[in-house]
Order: sequence, then structure tokens, then C-alpha cells
Amino acid sequence: MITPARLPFIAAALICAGAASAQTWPERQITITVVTAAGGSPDTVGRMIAAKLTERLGKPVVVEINAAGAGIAGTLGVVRSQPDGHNMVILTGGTPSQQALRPKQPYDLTTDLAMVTTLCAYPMVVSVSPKSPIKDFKDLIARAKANPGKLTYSMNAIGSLHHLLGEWINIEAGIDMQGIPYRGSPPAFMDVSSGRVDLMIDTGTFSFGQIAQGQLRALAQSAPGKYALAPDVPAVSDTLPGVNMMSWLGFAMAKNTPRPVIDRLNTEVRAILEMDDIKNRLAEMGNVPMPSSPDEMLGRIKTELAQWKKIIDAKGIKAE
Amino acid sequence: MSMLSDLALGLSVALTPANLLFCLIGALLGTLIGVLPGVGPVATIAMLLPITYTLSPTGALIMLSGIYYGAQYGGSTTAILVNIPGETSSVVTCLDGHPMARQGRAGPALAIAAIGSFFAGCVATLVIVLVSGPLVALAQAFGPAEYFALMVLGLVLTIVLARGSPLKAVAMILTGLLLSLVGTDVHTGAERLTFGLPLLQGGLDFVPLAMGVFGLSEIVSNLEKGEGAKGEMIAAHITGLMPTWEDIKASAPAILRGTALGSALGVLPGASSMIASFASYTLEKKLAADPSRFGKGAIEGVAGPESANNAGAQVSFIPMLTLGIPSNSVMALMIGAMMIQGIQPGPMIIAKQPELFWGLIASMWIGNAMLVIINLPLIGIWVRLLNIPYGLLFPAILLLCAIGVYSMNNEPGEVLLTAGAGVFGYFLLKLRCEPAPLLLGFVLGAMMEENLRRAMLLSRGDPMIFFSNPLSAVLLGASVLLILITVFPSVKSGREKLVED
Amino acid sequence: MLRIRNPQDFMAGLFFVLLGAGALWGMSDLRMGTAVRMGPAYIPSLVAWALIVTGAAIAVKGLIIAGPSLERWAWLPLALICGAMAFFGLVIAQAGLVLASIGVVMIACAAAPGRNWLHVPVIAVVMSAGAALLFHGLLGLPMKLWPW
Repeated sequence: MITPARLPFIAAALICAGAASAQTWPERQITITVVTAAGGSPDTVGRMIAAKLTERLGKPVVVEINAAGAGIAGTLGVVRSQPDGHNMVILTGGTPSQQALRPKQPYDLTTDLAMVTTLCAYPMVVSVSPKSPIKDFKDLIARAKANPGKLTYSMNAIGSLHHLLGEWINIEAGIDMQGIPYRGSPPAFMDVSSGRVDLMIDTGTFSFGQIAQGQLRALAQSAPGKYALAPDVPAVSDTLPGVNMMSWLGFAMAKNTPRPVIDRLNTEVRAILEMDDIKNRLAEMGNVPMPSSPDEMLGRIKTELAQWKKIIDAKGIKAE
Repeated sequence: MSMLSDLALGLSVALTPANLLFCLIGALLGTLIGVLPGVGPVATIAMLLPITYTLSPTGALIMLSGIYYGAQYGGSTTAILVNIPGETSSVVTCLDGHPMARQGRAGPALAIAAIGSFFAGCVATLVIVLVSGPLVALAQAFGPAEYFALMVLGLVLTIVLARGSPLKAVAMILTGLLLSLVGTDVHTGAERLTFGLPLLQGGLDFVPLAMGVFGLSEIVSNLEKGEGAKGEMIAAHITGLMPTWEDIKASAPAILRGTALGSALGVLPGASSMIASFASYTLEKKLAADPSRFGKGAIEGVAGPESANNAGAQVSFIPMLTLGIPSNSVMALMIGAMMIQGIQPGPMIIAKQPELFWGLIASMWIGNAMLVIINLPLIGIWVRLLNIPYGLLFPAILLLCAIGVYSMNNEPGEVLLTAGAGVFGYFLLKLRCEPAPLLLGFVLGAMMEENLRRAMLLSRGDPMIFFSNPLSAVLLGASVLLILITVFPSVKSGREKLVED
Repeated sequence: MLRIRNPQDFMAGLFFVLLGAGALWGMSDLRMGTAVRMGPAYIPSLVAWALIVTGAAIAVKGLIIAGPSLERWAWLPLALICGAMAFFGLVIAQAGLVLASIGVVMIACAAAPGRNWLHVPVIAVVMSAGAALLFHGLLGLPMKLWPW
């Protein structure tokens, strides 16, 4: 029976168990769940890091795709898994925005998961077809003001970072561009490059490549200042101070995972992100490494949740 | 003459022993995963991506594309032998391919599928080299209104090709459309018909539905006919492995027409190669002297769609190579593979990386040739599978299906969905409703809705957008015309029936 | 009294009507919107109504034009085959590939007429081993093999 007198012993036993499990960890295969489609950047980056972790931890680290149910099913699987450090999920910059849009999800991002570390980050990019008359970001705002409600931008689903950046720009610049939802970047690109849609708001991963090939012209990117991988693209915040966002990838585990396990993983991932080949591959994808402590990651998520709620409320965006 | 020298360069790259080996590995692996229901090229390529870092970029791409078209070949094999379409494009192959297998003609069906695919692959490779520019322009001319119109045409084609009652086909298409709309609405974020299940938030997936509706209900209906009894087989007597001269004569024009359709439509992203194979089937059925043979093992019904589908698969490389834009999820993975190697796919790739570009093109030829060489001897083995007593065969098929579905997302819920779809499929079978229109409606439904709503947003609510622009007007006009020529004969025969009553 | 001349068509029609009606009921809390600004329920409701109309037409046709009667349903094979599939979904996450596969094959074999119960366990073990070799060994899918 648990009596108050025994509590310290139980606590001590639990701590020892935690420490012991951290010492013997990993005992078996570690699974990284990716909740977006195979071949997306979470999948690619996840597999890159998994390969390095396998070498360093001595147990296989594998990526498992579970894109069923818009990612909810896969995340829920990790939330409900044994908190023994053998199941991870990759969260993205889109995770907090979805939580802000749908508070009724079957799990709470900030309390039901233990953060491990963020991995890498990239800005969102505002770009146009090379044939577009829009000269630069200031010109875009001027044209949007002159033609209220006429300009269109391509975005992902409702409440995606694409959408939130578009609406944030709308709020701060006092304009009214209309977001057109697309399922993924390719069809959006086809409509932007043929001029049916005026501008494209998309991830750095997708946009920088097209910009390098001369198929899109960058107007602005959403990093807080200059972005290391595209130093000549002006920041949105140069024109609209305060408007900045980075999308990111990060590892999380079930809550109550022993802290030593999380710390060990955090250290390993930090070391991996220092490796030249990883840095280069990330850069090819328009990403910069961004390790962080578990608390920093949680703090980032909380800040973003609050920021996205503000935009969602201001614009009356809702998942019906 | 520069094209010849370009091709020579490509051949010199593709014919190096290492690249030939990658091509062979890719084609073999692709065939294997294609044959396994549910295990698709996307999962396999995603898993292999880390290995490709260590290969040369050209070798990696040659291997990955080998997997891609190898899987197309393998998928048809499963469709013909056991009536399970592992991918959207093999739904049509089931229609006449499996009846042929039941008549003991699996060999000719498989052979003609392989030969048709090979021919289509070769022509489509030429198409990539010669007219990728105009085809890209065509793809860019397709906006939301045009896509919507194309999909309407696709659905109308399904009604035309329906075997049984057109009315039931319409109902099945509508059911498919409805099923495709399950999940989160992209435009408003609303959850539709998910009944609070997280699993359904992303919508239903094609594979569990197709596997349940085609595969499981087929097994049940076979068992019901007593085929599980001792020693009983799917095809009692096998009549020859290779197509007869008659078969080839019947198939050749179908292969030509299918190749043309697939090459023209393949460049459009989305479900274009499925529409191409449906279009080819309809065309063959309309041109046939005796359309009633279709659905009962007409070889043209295998040859045409298989060629269309393979041509389409090959041509879908164009947007990736010339724009850096993937036209399907396999192409997205290939772009990922290139980017990790430090190659940015896009219009500059031909000038900057001629060895890679032309090497890949040349390897498509070689890969298709390898697939024929691999597949023709395999036919003997596949056909012998049908000689296994059904009582042993069906548990194995069922097991492969279960693992295949689970392997897609490691999601037990999707296996349960497959079981549910099996019950649903059996009900439909008993009510004499053909499942093929349901699957086409399912594949096109969500895209149709999206494009319709996008078109209306862009035109600010003016429905004239569908008629004011010539391409969509032509496509919609063609749909109306097709409905008219289908409805009138059926109205006539319906009247005759009434009179007979 | 009205005689149903084509029970197959009549039942099919009824089934489609019910399906459409069920979909409408399932979406009753969603917004319709207008043709210009369509709500989430706009298109699905149109489709559901079209399905109801088509289903009704099929059912009416089934009343008027004669056709085949309903076939017998093979309930047992249906339950066993779909049950075997469902069994796999229910146990795979805990039991692992090997045991789940053995279960699937054993349940499926029960559906085969003239099965030999001495052979079934052997078949199940062989197929399960084959599946483990193929999917885990050859294709390297990240699947759990055993319950532990």
C-alpha cells in the first residue's frame, strides 16, 4: 500500500529506475514516426539523422511513416507509447499552427509530449513568376492597396504557415490579398508560373530551388533578418517590422520519458547537426541546423501558439 | 544531329556496367514490390533514399526510376492474376485481365501487357526527347477550370465503359465521389464525414478501399463458388503462355492508340495516367466490332490501357526534368534524391548536367527492355501460381494484402478499414454493382471538388470560367457529346426491354 | 400488391438512397455556403442528393422491370475472410508480424471447404515465416516481428 511514509522510497526507486533505464537505453530499436507523406522534408531529414543515430547509439533507429489521418494518428501513437525513449515523433513548424486552429485535438501539444530538440529551420518565401509586373515586396503592397481584394496568393490548407504568413502580411500592411488553397506546392507553382495566381507563399525548401532555377522571383523571405542561405533576398520584416516566422523540424517523445534519455538524445543530435555532410545536405534543402534544449523547443512552441492564435482570431480563421 | 549525339552521350552513360547493374536492381526490386499488393514504389524509394547518397547521382536516379516503372509492370501482374489493383492505374487492367486469367489465358494477358508497356515506354521516351517543350506548355495551360473539365470527361468515360446498367454505374461513381470527400476540407478545414475518427481526418486511402472492394470480395466470392475445395484452382486448364498471332493482331492497334493517349495525358499531374487508361479502354470498347466481349477477357482491354498507363508513367518525368515539378509522389521523391545530391532539377538541368539528363533518358529505354526480358520468362512462373490449389493460394493472398496495407502507414486502423471495405465490396458484388466506376470516382472526386472551388475563387464566382476558356469548353463539350451518344442507345434498348416485358 | 420484379436492383437502389441519406445526416452540422463561396458541405451534399435520386431511380426500375432475384450470401466465408483481415489489424501492433500472420492464415483456412486441420498449423507457420523473410528480411520494412 502507498502510505505517505513510503512516498520518498517510491520516489527514490522511480528515480533509480529512470537512471537505470537511461544507462541501459537504448534497449531495442528506436522508431521515429513521420506524420507527413514519404519524401517530404521531415522524412528526408528524419532518415538522415536516423542513420547517424544508429551509428552512435548502437541500436537501429528507423523512420516509420504514418501519414494516416492527417498526421493525428501517428502523433497520437507516440503520445500513447511507453515513455521509455524508444518512440519519437517529428514535429514541424506546422504543428503549433494546427493546434492553434484546432484546439480540440485528441492531445495537447504542450503537455502531452516531452520535447527533445529542434533540428533545423527554414523561412517561408514570398515569390512571383519571373514574368510578373510586381517589382518587389513594397511594390506588392502598393499594388494590393490600389486593387483591394484583387491579388491572390497560393497557400497550403487553411491554418498552414503559408496561410498565416499571408494573413499576417495582410494585417500589418493593411491589405486584403486572397489566399487560394492548394494541396502541396506543385499545383500551386503551375498556377503561379502561368499567371493565374499572382504570388506564391511557400516553404524555403521548395522556393529557393525554383528561384535558383529562374522559375520564380523572390520578393521576400520570412526569417527574422537576413537568411544565411539567401542573403540577397530581403526580409519581410524589413518592410513590415515584427513579421517573421521560421518553420522547423523537431523531435518529441511521450511525456514522462526519463530526462537522462532526453538529454542523451539532445547531445547526440547536437553533435550530428555539427557534422559537415549533414550541414551540406540540409543547406541543399534550404535548411539551416537549429539545435535547441528541450525547454527552448517548448518555449518556441508556446510562443508560436500564442502568435498564431492572435492572427487566427484577428482574421476570424476557423476550421469549420 | 545534336539529338543523336545527345542520345549517344546518354547511352554511353547508361551502358556502363555500374549503371546497367543499378538499372537491373531497380527493375527487379520494382517488379517485386509492384507484385506485392499495397507495397508501393513510394515507400520503397523513401526507404532507399539514404542508400542513394553513396551512389553517383546518375546511378541513383537510374535505379530509382527502374523501381518506378518496374512497379508499374508488377502491379499489372497482380491485377491480372488475382484481381487486386495495387495502384490506381491497374484498376482498368483488372477488368479484362483477370477474366483472361480465369479462362486459362493469364500467359497471353501478362505477355501482351509487358509487350504493350515496352512499346509504350519506348515511344514515350522519344516523346520526352522530342516534344517535352510543347507538352510542358500544355500542362501550364491547364488551370483549375481545365482540370475540372478533364475530370468530368474522365467520369463520363467511366459511365460509357460500364459493363452493366449505366444507372448503377452512375450510382457507383457518386458513391466513389462521396467517399473521396471524407476527411478534412482543404478550403475550410472542416472535418467531413469523419465521425470523429482521427484516422479519417486525412481522408480514405485508395489502397485499403481497392484491396477490400476488389481483392477481399473476390476471395469470398471464389470460396462461395467452391474454389477453396481440395485441389481446385483458379484456372483449370492453361492454354499457352504466349499470345497467338490472332491476339497480337487484335492488340497492335490498341497498343498504338493507348500509347498515344498516355503520351498526351501523362504530362498532366494528378490522376492523368489513370484517366488515360480509362480513356483507352473506352476507346477500344467503342471501336470494337463486338463490344460485349469486353469485361469477359478481351485482350484489347488489357493491351490498350496497359500501354496508356505505361506511356503516361514515362511521360510524367517531363514536368520533373524540365520544371523541377513532380507530377506524382514518386517524382517528388526523385527530386528529393537529386536535391540531396546537390542537383537542382529544373530547366537548367539539361545544360548543366547533360550526362545525368541524357543518361537517365537512355536508361529508360534500357530499363524497359530489361523489364520485358525479366518479365516474359517470369510469366511461366506467375501462371504456375494459378496452378496452386486455391485453398492454399487464398490465405497467402490475404496475408500479403494485410501486411501490404499495414506497411503503408504502420497504421492498424487502415487494416481494419480494408476489412470493412471487403464487406462493402461483397455487398456491391451481390447487388451486381461494378466496383471499377466507384474507384475512378474515388480517385477523381477530391481533385474535382478542389479544382471546381479553386476555379470559382479565381473567377470570383463567375461560372463562365468553364466555358469562356477554350480548353475547358472543348473538354466539357466532349463530355456532353459522349453522354448523348451513350444515353440514346441505352434509352432505345431500355424501351425494347419494356416492350418485351 | 406491388411485386418487386427485380429484387437485386431494388435492394441496390435502396442501398444507395440510404448511403446518400446517411451522408446528408452525417454532414448536417456543416455549412452549405453559396455557389460562389462554397461551404464544406456544398459539393458533398450535391453528390449525396444525386446519389439519392439515382438510387431511387434504380429502385423504381427494380419494381417495374423484371430481373434476377437476390443471391444467397456466403456469410461464413465473408465473416472469416474479413475477420482474418481485421484480426491482423487488431493484433499486429502488440503481437508482431510472426504471430499475427499465423493467426490470419489459420482464420482464413477455416473458410476453405475440405481443409485438413492437421495441415493448417504447418501452412500457417510456413507462410508466416515466408512473410517475415520477405517483408522484414528482404524489403527491410520497419515492422515488429515478435511481441517483445
